[in-house]
Amino acid sequence: MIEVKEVTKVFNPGRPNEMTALENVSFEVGENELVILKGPSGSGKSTLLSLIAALQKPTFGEVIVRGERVSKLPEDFAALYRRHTIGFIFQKFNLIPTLSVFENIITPLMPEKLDEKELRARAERVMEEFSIAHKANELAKNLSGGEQQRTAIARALVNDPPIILADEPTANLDAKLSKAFLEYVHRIKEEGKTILIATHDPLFFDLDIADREIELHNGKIVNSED
Amino acid sequence: MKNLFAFALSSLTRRGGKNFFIFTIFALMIFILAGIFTITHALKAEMFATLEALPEITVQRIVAGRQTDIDAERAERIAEIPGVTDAMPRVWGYYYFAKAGVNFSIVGVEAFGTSYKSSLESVADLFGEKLMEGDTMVVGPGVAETLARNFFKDYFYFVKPDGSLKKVTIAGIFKPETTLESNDIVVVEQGLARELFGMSEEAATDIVVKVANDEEIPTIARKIREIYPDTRVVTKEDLRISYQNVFDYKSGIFLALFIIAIFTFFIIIYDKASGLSSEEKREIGILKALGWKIGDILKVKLFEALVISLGAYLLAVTLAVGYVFGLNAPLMRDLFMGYSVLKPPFELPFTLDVGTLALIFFTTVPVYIAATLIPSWKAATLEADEVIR
Amino acid sequence: MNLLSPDVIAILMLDGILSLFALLALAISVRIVLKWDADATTPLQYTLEKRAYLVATIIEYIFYLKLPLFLYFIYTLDLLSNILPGAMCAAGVTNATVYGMWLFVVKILDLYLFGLWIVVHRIDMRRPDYPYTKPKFLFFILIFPVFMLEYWLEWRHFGGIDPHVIVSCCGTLFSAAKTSAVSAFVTLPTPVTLGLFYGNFLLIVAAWFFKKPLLTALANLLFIPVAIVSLIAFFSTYVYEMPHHHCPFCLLQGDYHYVGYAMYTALFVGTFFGIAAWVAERLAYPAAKRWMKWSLIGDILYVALVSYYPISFYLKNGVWL
Repeated sequence: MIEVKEVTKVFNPGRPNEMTALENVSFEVGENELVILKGPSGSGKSTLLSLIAALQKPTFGEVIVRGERVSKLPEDFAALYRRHTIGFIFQKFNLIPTLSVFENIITPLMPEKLDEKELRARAERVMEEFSIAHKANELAKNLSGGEQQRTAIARALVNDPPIILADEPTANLDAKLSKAFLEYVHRIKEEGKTILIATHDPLFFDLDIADREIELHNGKIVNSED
Repeated sequence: MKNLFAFALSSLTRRGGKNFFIFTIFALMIFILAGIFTITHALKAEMFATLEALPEITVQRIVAGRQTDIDAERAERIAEIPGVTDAMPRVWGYYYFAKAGVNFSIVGVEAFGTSYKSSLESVADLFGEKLMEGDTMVVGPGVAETLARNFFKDYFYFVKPDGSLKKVTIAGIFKPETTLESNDIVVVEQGLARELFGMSEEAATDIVVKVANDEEIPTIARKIREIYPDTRVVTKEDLRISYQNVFDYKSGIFLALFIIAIFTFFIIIYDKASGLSSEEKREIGILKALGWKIGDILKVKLFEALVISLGAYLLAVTLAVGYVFGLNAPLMRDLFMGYSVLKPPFELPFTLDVGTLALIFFTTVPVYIAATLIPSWKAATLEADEVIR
Repeated sequence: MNLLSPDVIAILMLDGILSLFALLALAISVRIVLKWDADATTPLQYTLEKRAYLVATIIEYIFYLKLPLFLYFIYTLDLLSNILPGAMCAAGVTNATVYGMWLFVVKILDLYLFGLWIVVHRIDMRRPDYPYTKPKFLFFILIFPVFMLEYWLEWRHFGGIDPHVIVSCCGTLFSAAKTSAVSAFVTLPTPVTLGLFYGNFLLIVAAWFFKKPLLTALANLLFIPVAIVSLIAFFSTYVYEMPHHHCPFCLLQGDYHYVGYAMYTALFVGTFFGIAAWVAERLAYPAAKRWMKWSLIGDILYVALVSYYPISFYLKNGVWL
């Protein structure tokens, strides 16, 4: 499903502030696998996610997703790839605060040629699934933490992407919401999605929900256990 | 496309303050421009309407570079030129009414005679008997009003060039065809006009010539010049072109100034559009991470610019039309009508042509969009990965 | 500058802005042509990729503004004909200086060139390896001087118009008596002119019928001069219902219901997509078939419009002019 091959990412190469975020990282994620990327902050987890999402390009090496070399895609095609293949759950959720829940959820669909009805139907489906439909017209900035969380997950799934990437999804949540998040992750996995979560929240390891953990340290994989 | 347009609309309202500021300034600039151009166009239309009524050729005598009286008998010689239908001496001029500080246009007519202008002819016919009685006049509504304000309800004392007074009774008030032209007119019998101006019996102000075939006008004008080398021969075409040039020149100079203003505005828009808040940057980052292409964001930005600029254009043009034709352009018309106080109470005829609208459009809307082009591109190509760092 | 008409100033100002943008696009294009490497993952390549979007945005802006601006340009010429002694329509104004006719030709050429650039660009953006990026920007570098030539001609033309000099009206410019290049066509026997015109049109229809994009493009390319010459020589006289009034500009006036704008738009759409369809076919772009259809529709519309006048004249009067 996802192949990361000898990927190295250097920021500001050749400048005084040169920084190697990832060094010769290789791993694979199979279909419907739930993999956790762990490691302290600054270890390169987020960079790795953005490389898989083709938001950035590796300095060396390549990322292949479902047979496509996404590390080579120019911007527009990278965008299309994200739109159709990746569901993104950001740290702090990154909802657009001045848009309503419904509008936030349909943003990934907006560039598509979909009519109002189809748009609404797709949004309803995920809003129902993550029980946020009753807040559909509420502005995102007025939501509670849990509601923001569910909106963010609904937004990531509205395109029905095969791969879900989550970046520190529980960083700003209390224990109860974190646990709820894990339940949602579980449900998403049941739907057959491939999930990659970057986190250093011990909750994930305590509950042992992952199929596999990959630990990063200073941009290198230190262990990869099944 | 439709969804992106909806997103652009919502994006505009969500950042209402900033956009409202730009919208207002832009609309104000378009309003000023539209006001000037509509007034110019309306005045031009009025002038040309006046011009249509003018004789094909006007002959004036020039002495020492100034226009002076012409011998009325020359008209007979001119009338003999082949192609000329009629040549008539005119007696007319301005009378300064010091107390009100205004000029009247005194026009002498021959009662029941032919006149160079049908409207004057009908005046002469209608009030013919009264004018024949002597020492009577028919005045335009503006004149009547001014006189009444100075307590001359039925008659008026003209001061002749030799200082003596001449009492003239008001025989009637006529309704002008076009207000700009005849509001200030005083029609009297030709002999009386000569008396008021202190002109000799055989003198005329100028001679107007009617020509049946327009194509022959230049030839006839040349012949008149040959017969009377001391004359200036002005054709309708000459007047039309010089009027047009004057108007074009006025609005041209204005436009040149306006361009400086619009370039200043260009920089303001550029600056406003470039200065993205961190919130906007984050929003663009989110959109790109969610799979928006650069082109999608560019489209949204373009829609925003289109909505603002077209909206401002439509609003400003509508307001300007109301201001010019509804309110008669207070303040702005003074730019164009600097002279006699009597002239202003004209009403601008409603003329709005596609050309003027296009001119206003092309000097504003594309400039606005041009100013947002580079900032939009900069916004659309922002690095998206910052949102997940 | 003798003419300070607001319309002229507006056109010169807008073309000035467009020139500045084009200059920026040129600078970027040169860098892209020299440094573009689709396989590279260097920061330079990413910068160039982003700048390529700017160039495309600028060129699209220029093209989409130039379309209405061209109509406005013609309208302005028509307007100036009121001021210039002797001029009855835009023809007189165009011929007021030696640059006028060239300005017209280059302006039309620019519309086709910029339009084709956008076609190539659209096709290029559909494939992840951007196969035509370098040729596309090279193409722009080649178009740029033509665009600058247009702007230069525009200044020379408008600056050179002297409102005191009497110019010729279209009646003499396009008359059969005058020995100018245009007049030469007017003297062509009518059957030859019409044979060429309808023959060319049949060729276009045949090319569409047998799905031959290259033939469509060539036939349409040929159709541009053939259509205009036959319009001047034959069809215009029926629009005016005057046997000696040959003019491609008076058609644009309100007296003839602005029919010229419809005719020229149809002709542009028809010929442009005819040529663009071939480009699309060469670059394996699926829209080729659709564009050939649009081209045919435009051409048919044009032929129908111009043919309507002589036919209705004949039906009404029972004779030809």
